[in-house]
Amino acid sequence: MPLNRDDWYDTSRDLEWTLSYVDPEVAFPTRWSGAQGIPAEAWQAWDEPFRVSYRDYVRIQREKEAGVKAVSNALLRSATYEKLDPAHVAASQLHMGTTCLVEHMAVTMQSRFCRFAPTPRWRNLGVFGMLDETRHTQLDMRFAHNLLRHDQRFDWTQKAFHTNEWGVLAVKNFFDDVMLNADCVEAALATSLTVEHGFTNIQFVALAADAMAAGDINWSNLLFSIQTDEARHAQQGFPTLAVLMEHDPERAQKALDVAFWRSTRLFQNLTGPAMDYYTPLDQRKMSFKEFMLEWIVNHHERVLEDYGLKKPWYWDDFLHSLENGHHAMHIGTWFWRPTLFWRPNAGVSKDERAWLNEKYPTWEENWGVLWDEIIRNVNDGSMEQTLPETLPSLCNLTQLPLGSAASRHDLAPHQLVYRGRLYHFDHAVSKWCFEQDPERYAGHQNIVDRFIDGQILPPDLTGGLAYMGITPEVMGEDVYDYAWAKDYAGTESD
Amino acid sequence: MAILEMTPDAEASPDLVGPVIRAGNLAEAVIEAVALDNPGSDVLVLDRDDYVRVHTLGTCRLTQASLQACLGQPCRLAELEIDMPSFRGRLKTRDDEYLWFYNQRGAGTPGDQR
Ligand SMILES: [Fe+2]
Ligand SMILES: [Fe+2]
Repeated sequence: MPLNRDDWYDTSRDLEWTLSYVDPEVAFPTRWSGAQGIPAEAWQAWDEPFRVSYRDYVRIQREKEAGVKAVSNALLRSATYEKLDPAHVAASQLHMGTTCLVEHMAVTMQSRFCRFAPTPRWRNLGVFGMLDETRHTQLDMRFAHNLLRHDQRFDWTQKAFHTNEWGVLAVKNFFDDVMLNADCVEAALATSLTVEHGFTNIQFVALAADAMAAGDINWSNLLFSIQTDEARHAQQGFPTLAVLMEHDPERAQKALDVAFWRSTRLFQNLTGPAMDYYTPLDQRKMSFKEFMLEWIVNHHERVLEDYGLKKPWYWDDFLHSLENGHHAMHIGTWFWRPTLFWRPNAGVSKDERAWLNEKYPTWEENWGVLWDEIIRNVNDGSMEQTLPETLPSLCNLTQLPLGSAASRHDLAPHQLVYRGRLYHFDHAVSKWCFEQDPERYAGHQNIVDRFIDGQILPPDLTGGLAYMGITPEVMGEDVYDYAWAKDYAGTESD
Repeated sequence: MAILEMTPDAEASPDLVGPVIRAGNLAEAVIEAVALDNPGSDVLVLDRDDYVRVHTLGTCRLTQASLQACLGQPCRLAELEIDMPSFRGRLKTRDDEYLWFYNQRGAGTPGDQR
């Protein structure tokens, strides 16, 4: 009778040898392990919640792959893509362009776990994580490649991270920090726990539910399948957190508080507009805020508190931003639509507006008046008034526009001088994040810094678009050609 | 105890634990198996069409034996992963039993959205 996995698991996961030719610090530099100040024996307590053996892994991943491929092959022969709402398609292009290469960056992060993690148990699991992330990158590429014949914007699945498009730079900046440049412990806190256990659920489960309702079975199925891997390998973060809570709880709290704010801002950009504006009204399951309360507040934060962590100190700011930040990102991205590689949907027809007001009681007061101005200009034929001539000022932490973290009633300068340079922030919390580790962020130039520095020529929107790699075939334009504004024709000019 | 539909208030309750399963046969079997394996608890089910939350309060046990019985065919617990994009609470996995739990009942106030 063959042994069960649990019979041999403890022996196999502790496969380790004693170094005799090299110093442990040379083989496992603290710079990459992140184990500073934590005694080597402490890692004996590292116990993974989600056990995996190679044999099970291969068998189960094979089945997942077969499932995704069967659906995608079946749909390739049907005309499902042509039936999709173009605003929903924009959500999938936004996802592919900003996510595919993050999956690829995650391969590097997981391989760092394989090589440098401070316990063999964790190094073992890193192998599966690395294979997972390779799979995610390839799934995205395959999905997008099949759709290239419909729309070359899917080319940005691979291309986006090789451009300087501003939104892509914001995503890349965050993941450079928490995946490529992070030691194992920090990556576990910021990526495994905050991103993979928390925020990816918003995109890969909640938005996937919207996508299924919108008839995009192929994309929904792919997102879902990816998240089944994420749910497993995200669990690498918890035993690491448990060790830290024993030996350095302050470091854990701080790293999680920084990562939570940065993730909030990023997903207000990635998922918020897709859920509350791009998904066709009759196919929306819930609002972005409702999904965030379900997944991030009730689901994610509660587990952290079980480990003895406190909610981030800026919790009230977070809840206030939840009402506003993605509406700000949405009106901003729509206005700067020539800088996008997807076609945004304004999503403010009268019916959609009623929905927004029901979900967000302050929407009319905070955002409706701004859209009214746009609507007036569209209906008067003053299109130039609805388009940008310059670039927005950006935050030196999040790389997102200043003023986009809350509403027009919250505008205030958040600045500091560090080593003689003036830095700007989109929120007091972003400034706080910078202050926790200024050297990490200080050297980076956001797009506007580069503009002022003379790196973008000619120094106008045309030069900016060329610098961002935006070409006429992909340049963002209102996805319904302003048809939604006709709702208001003749009624709004008060 | 009963299998109940989860109200929005219950969804915000801080002590819920258990899997999130893609809607379908497996989700139905998991609901029944969780009811069998947690005889002292109500099973709270939230169906969002595409995914289903299957939760109990405090601890949630799922055994391979119950899952097989409810699915009506041989199945290993490890295969749950194929249709489980998420789960709520801490997790302990053994060949024949998964356990979702919190160490501290009543910790945190996730329902408190101020
Ligand atoms: Fe991934
Ligand atoms: Fe991942």
